[in-house]
Amino acid sequence: MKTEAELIEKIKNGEWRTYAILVNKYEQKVFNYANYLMGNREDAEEITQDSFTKAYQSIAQFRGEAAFSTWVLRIAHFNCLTRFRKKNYAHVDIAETNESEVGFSSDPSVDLQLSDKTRILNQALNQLRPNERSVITLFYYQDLSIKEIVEVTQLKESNVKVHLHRGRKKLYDVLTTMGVKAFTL
Amino acid sequence: MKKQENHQDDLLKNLFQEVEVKKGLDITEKVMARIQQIPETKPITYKPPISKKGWILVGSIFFILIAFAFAMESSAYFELSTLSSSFRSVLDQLGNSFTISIPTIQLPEFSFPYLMALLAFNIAGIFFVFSYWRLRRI
Repeated sequence: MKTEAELIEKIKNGEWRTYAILVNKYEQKVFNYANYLMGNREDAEEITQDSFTKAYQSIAQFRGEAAFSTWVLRIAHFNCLTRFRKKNYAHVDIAETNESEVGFSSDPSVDLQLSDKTRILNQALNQLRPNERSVITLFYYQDLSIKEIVEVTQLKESNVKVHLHRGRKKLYDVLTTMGVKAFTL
Repeated sequence: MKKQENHQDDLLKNLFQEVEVKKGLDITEKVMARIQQIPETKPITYKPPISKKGWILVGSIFFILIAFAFAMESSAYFELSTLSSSFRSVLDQLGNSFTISIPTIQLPEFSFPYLMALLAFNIAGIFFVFSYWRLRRI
């Protein structure tokens, strides 16, 4: 079993097929990150492909100071932000979202289906600003440390902490309003 | 406060883990197909127009020329008009088969360091253009 550094060295030396191992290893992570950020599968898939292609094209500049996954996530993050700006994504206000749209019962005793939970989470994430959404996703889904989030987003550490704090509170409030207690109680 | 944050943390972590989207897509295949289409299927590495050796060469030529120019006496001048007349006399010596009339032009006088600097600048320029052209061909 080769280490990541060895694999990258091989790719740098022209063994491009080796890159498939890395893509296969991290595609799920990058795809889900883009999916949470964009809130749409098509964009997420395209961003994932673009990010891995760009990462390959500039792999000669990868010095291994950060993990490869962090590096690809950074590329994906900036791809998402670019697309945000291009498409001028608007976040939906909670007041505009009613339960029938979300498709679940507010009764906490009702066991929600996984698809409902996914939809609820996406709706709730949509209430956050892009930076809050990004920091929340990196922290809770990707399980990254604050330092790693700084690497990916290129934000200041203090800003990351602020986004995390605000995002966490906002997301919790939104999920509670949407009847998310059904998940835990 | 801290307790509340921890509770929120747990809730959100569980939620994200539970709803993880399984993509079920062929992203690896698509990425590899894209990469295959990249010319030469080799990662693009940055190559400067002038290599390290090239810079050393250009620097050395500069240094030698400038040092040589300053080592010369400052009163040393090249008169291009003199060069022109000597060239004409050479042609005269070659015989009468050529009948070329060279007009006498009074060119400005250049100091030796100025000429050397001009030469050095031109060499560097030619070298840069050549390197750039070679890089474009790759």
